[in-house]
Amino acid sequence: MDPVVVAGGAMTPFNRRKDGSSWRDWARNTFVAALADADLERQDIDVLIVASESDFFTLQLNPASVLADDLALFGKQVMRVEGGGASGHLAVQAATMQVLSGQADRVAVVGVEALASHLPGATVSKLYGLSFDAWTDGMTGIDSTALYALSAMAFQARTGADENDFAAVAVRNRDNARLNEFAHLPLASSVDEVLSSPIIAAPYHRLDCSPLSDGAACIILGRGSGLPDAARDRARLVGIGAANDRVRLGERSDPGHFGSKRIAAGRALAGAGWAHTDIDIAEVYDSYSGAQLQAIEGLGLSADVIADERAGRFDAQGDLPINLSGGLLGQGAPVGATGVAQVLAIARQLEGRYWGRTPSRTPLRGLVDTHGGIATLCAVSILEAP
Amino acid sequence: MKRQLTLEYAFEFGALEPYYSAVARGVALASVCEQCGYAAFPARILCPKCASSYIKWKPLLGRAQIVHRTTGPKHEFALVRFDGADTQTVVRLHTMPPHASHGWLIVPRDDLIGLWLGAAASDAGKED
Repeated sequence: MDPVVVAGGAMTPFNRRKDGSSWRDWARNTFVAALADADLERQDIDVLIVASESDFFTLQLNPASVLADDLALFGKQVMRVEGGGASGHLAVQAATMQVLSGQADRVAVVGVEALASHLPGATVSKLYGLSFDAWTDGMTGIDSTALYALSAMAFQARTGADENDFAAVAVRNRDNARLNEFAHLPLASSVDEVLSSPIIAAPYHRLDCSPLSDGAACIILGRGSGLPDAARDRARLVGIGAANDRVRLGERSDPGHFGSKRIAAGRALAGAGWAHTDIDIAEVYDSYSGAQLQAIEGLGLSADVIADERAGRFDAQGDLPINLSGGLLGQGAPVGATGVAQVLAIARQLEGRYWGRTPSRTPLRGLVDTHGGIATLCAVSILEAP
Repeated sequence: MKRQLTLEYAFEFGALEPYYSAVARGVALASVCEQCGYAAFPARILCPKCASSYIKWKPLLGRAQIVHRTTGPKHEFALVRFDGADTQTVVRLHTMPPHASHGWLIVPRDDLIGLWLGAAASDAGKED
């Protein structure tokens, strides 16, 4: 059976738009660019899957129908996938299943979010209080940062990780982002600068947090004779897995452990026929600096994540480079687009076409990790070089 | 161009109404599984341990041990375990001393029926 390939893709800059453009422009532009990258025409697309976290951010219910119309896709199968922060990645996985099932030959995934320029930051923060259990945790008025902070403290208590470890992640990811033309926060910074930035919710400082971004990303999945020659010789999506955890931190056996990532990664790796040790490069969900370390541990990519972090294993020169795009901390986080852009980044790295920082060793196998909630809905995909 | 929308959302809590009515009074009402005895607070309509739907209500003392505490410029929150509960939960802290090890459930201080923890048992069931 022919493998599913990432036939093409594109993304907009992730940032706070000040140019008068709209989320519908960003979605359309990435779709057109992805088609060109795959050497396809719009009529070649069988299915459109839209990823968008919240209608509050677009002020548009049923956005998939509107975007299909904007993209001049008619008589097609059109749907929207939502899973909080994992929306974009889950949409990619839904597209993969469409292709694998034979329902479609070519599927376009458009992820988009207007998080930065349309609503005041305080309003977005209040809305995010509804993205956990709105009847319990959300009823306290807690925000995302404070909830992640409580999980991070449990992680610190168990592993010995400290604020310096967290800050080092933020510094490195934003340094990686300096080579990424699409990045929201490309910064040369220091651990001291992170630790001296204002406290949002201890142990997290402002620079430990990913930004609210506007942006869109699109990839086209397909396989076999349904693709042009150039698009067939692209990165292969060889394993997908997803798993959920209990919504409320207080009901987890260890509130600091992202346990459902281990299940999702196990499923994805089993599909690919690989082991954790086969992974050469990864993009993981670093909504907060400490969450990156929790993700690496949860995924099973390190037996001692703190020792590996301090030893530089996750640097571009290390044996498992992570978030060379800058991750959410550096590249930015327009939620619906985030997972799509993560998959695009790993695909381009494996194809040798990545636009930003590349690892010192040519990667052959990559992992993408995204989650919604506090690692509540987790999606992991495995890609391999063409 | 800007457009302003206002939402007024009417919550109905269904099977969990006894729990929310109690929280609104500053009273901790746990759900206890009749199959395995697991006590959940906040209350659940299914047992978090065995998924049984056979639960009964059990008032707790309202005292909670603070497990982790996060402080921000405006608010403080904590992960706590209420005495008599098998689960932990997130609470909002209300004028708690910096090194307090425990606190008491108090009447919510805003229009949300969330769990608030105060420093003294005498605060329980009272509003400011």
